[in-house]
Amino acid sequence: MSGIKKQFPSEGDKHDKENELYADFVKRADEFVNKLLGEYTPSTGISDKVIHDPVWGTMVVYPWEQQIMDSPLIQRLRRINQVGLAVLTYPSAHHTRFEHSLGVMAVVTRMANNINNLGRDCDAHSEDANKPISDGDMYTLRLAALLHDVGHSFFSHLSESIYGKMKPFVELKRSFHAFSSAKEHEIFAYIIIDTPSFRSFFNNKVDYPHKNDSLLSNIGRMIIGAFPDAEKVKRGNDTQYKKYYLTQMINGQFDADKLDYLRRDSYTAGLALTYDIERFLYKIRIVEKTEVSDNGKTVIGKHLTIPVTGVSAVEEMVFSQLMLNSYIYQHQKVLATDALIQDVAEGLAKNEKLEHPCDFLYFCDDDIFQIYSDSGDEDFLQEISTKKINSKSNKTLSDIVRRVRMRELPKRAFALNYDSVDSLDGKSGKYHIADIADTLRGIIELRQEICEEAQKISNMLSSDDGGNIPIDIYDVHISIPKTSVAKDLSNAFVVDNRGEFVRLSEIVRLSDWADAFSYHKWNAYVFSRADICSIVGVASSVVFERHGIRLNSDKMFNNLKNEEEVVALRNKLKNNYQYF
Amino acid sequence: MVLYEDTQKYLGFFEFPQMTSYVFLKAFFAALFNRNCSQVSRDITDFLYEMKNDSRYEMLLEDITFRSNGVFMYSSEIEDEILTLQNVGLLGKRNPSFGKILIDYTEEIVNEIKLSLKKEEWDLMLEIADQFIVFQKKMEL
Repeated sequence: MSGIKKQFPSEGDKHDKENELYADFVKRADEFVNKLLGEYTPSTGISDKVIHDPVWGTMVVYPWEQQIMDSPLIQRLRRINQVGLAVLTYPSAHHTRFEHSLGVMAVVTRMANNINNLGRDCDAHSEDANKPISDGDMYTLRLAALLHDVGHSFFSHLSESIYGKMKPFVELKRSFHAFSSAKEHEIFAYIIIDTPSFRSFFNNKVDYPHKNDSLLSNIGRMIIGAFPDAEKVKRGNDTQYKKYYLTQMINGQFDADKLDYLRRDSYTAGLALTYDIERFLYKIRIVEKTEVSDNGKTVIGKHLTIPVTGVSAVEEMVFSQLMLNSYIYQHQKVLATDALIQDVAEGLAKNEKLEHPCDFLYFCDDDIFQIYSDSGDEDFLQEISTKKINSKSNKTLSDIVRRVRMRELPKRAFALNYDSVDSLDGKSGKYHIADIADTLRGIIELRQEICEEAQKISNMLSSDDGGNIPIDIYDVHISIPKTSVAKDLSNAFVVDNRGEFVRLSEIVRLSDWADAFSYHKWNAYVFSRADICSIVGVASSVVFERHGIRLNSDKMFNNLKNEEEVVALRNKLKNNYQYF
Repeated sequence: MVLYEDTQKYLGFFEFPQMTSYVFLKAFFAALFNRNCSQVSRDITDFLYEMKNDSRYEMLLEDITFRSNGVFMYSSEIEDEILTLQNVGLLGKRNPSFGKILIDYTEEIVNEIKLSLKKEEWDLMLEIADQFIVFQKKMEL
């Protein structure tokens, strides 16, 4: 094997290509962090504070956590909605990354307390033999929870899906093993915590009681799903212990992040989805696994897991995750709104506001909304709101943002799914949804092609027939989700009746039914302005067929509100204009 | 079709994987079938993780992520795409507990997949398939 990569930044030569790239990200992020923290002086001499949360009840926040929580770096999370623009579809889903971060802190505390109270460690190696998770580790976990989403930008995962594909970010992920499987906002959190400005703020202005050299590095690692280094315990012999559970509680298969968002997102959206948190908390435990390290030493790994008797709680979580995905994140109106914001991001990039991934950090949801506003930053507004997105279009950034703010969302013009596609030939796989999704996601000119086809149809029709209308590329939006959803819960590991670790997928076939569920729920959409929906619908069908997708002529316009209208237009084009 | 000039400029900011995880897995099983291997162990994750760490194959596997924050290495993409290929009908299983993957390809399908890839990509796929066959034999011993 060749080309061994570094696990983490700063390993090896500090001036090699990979570390230089990382240093550039840190430098840029540092400017951002310094802008927020440079002038901030936290309150001192404060006492514990109590916060009431609708999901987890009353929680205590320690003074040093308040000092961080009250900083502009964390307060900015109040301006980033947890579920992005799903709030336009679920009006009560106004909760932000800020509440979620506090929720993760609350639930990770409950997890740790349960493990401690029930003595769920199979032996005790912590400083306090009666407490598997020491106070120090508890504080670390809470801090990691508070900071875990600090790398988010506007509309949460929506912006992440854009900057994550930008060349410097792709290169950064490629450069280090630890980054290759982390989510983009987690990498940004790692970078932010590693900036000189944040380190200086934490070391000089925060009254954290257990500061040590590796604390912030370990928190960064926990957030990206990597493990802290092995450590010797004070009372132990040469054997090293690795606290895998610290990472697994923050970024693992059943971590505090998931426990919070599954409950919080469904609660605020008004969806009756749940899982048995009390049963889950009762079942979790820390179990050891002996391993041999690279230098031949014995390392005892301590993992967070549940016994096989507790899998029903995990099954409920998988079910909730699938439902949330289907009801909220893949809801057609949510996808339509996402498409609009992607155009805004494109416009900001073309107008030199978002040229580097780190530029995204400066924007929260309201910064985007202010592009169409009377009360925003005037310099910014004058500079950007009237800018066109594309020289071929008359649309300005303000036009697009106005549509989001006024909820003038694009309408469904075409839906590609099991019903609309013909001749699913299982053996050749040629016309299967999976192939279709994969192919279409790779056609970058698809939108332009549909738009031009729609314009052709519009030109063909007289104004009495709804034609002769100019069709702008930003009147047409395409959303082609992946056919599968991440099901990392089914990859969780549990302890069987013999005390052995086994994959959850070997105990229950979660993936099979989860996959079948998400598969049959899959829809790709073309959205458009309401008055050109039928034209765009027909144009979409023509373009898809041109790309080799056989559509079911009887069902291709099913599930559309304007089904009769679009069928009539298709027939008219066929009979009167010899279009087909 | 020629893309609008500023769309091209915008796309210039981005980089996309050379091959999607779906295409990789589909081609990997095609290469195995081409090497007369029609049944493989379900657990191919560790092997593909090693392949991703090899600079020759890294780019082919770029869309596949591996997570090791548990006891076992896992990859959502590998699991997802195997299930997808089972849905497509290209892979089979005798029953839900059956620990092996049956490759239900035909020569025609393999040829179609081969033609959809660049020659050098297909050659690398065959190399990976050869290494997997050796790896699998070792595991069986």
